[in-house]
Amino acid sequence: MAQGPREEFAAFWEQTRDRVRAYMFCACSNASDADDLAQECSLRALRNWNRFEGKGSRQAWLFAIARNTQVDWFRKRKRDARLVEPGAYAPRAMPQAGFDDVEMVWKTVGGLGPEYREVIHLRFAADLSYVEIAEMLGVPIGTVRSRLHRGLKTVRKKIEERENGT
Amino acid sequence: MERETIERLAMDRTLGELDADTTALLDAYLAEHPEMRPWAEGMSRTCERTREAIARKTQTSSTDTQPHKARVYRLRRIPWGAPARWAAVILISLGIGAGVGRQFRPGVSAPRPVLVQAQPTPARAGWERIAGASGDGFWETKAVAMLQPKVYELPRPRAAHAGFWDRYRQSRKERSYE
Repeated sequence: MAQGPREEFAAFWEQTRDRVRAYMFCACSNASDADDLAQECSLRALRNWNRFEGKGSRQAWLFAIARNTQVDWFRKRKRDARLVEPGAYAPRAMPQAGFDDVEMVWKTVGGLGPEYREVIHLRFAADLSYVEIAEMLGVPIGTVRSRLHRGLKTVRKKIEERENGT
Repeated sequence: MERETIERLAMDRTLGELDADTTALLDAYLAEHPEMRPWAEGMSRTCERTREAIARKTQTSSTDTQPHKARVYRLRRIPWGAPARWAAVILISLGIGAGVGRQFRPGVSAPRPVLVQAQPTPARAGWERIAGASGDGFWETKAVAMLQPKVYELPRPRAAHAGFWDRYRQSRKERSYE
């Protein structure tokens, strides 16, 4: 039986919802804002579901909408920017060993330049391929690879500094 | 191969972006050049740790959605409210001050009382005192004046202080008479 656009979207959203939310969390570092942003993104995607022309992948299309949603959100909050101290959303009790490493990597990625940070978030949080990221950002695949490599090099440097105690 | 190339290939392999043939070639190359293996392993480890850190942070966020309230604060909130309130207060004060100032200008202040020596009134008696005997009594002045058509005399603008506001008020008065 043929599915309507709503059912198609529901099935697609079910598969990608967690990744969209993770991507949103990377941008705002706030769980409730990430939920709001993911919801807003889903509404926009549903509204424009029939406008997808079939060029490229649906995921790249969805994450382009997610990115625009983030941009609009940041624009709206420009006057009332809230700074959440790093670690403010961490569990109150340190549950696992090695959590400091997670924080360190998270902070390092957060401190990268926007073009490097975005590629890392799209690769590791949204789980997009190089091709999808390139399609979404409108840049060549080589640029995606290069940005990812530079960003990860900075992270590796921080990890090595930490391990060497410097 | 250069270190950068090895690292990029290792990154691609860890992220599943390298095809099987290139992966086999890379492994063979690293087997031949064990001194380059730490570079590849270092980048692979970095990829894994970054993936793990992001995954754990985003998963943690869904289980602990309440931030520590004491540690969340506003970075910069432009306090437009207070300056706007003060500007409104200042403007209203200036408006009231200007209005009051116009009413009590030194040039048009209320006349001071002057003491004048009054002429003694001649003593009259009886009916003469009530109606008046010299032709300026009630019937000669008030009643006749009431029967006459009323003629309003328009106040003349004060030339010395005829500013924009005076001229505007004057024109409003003239229109109201019309």
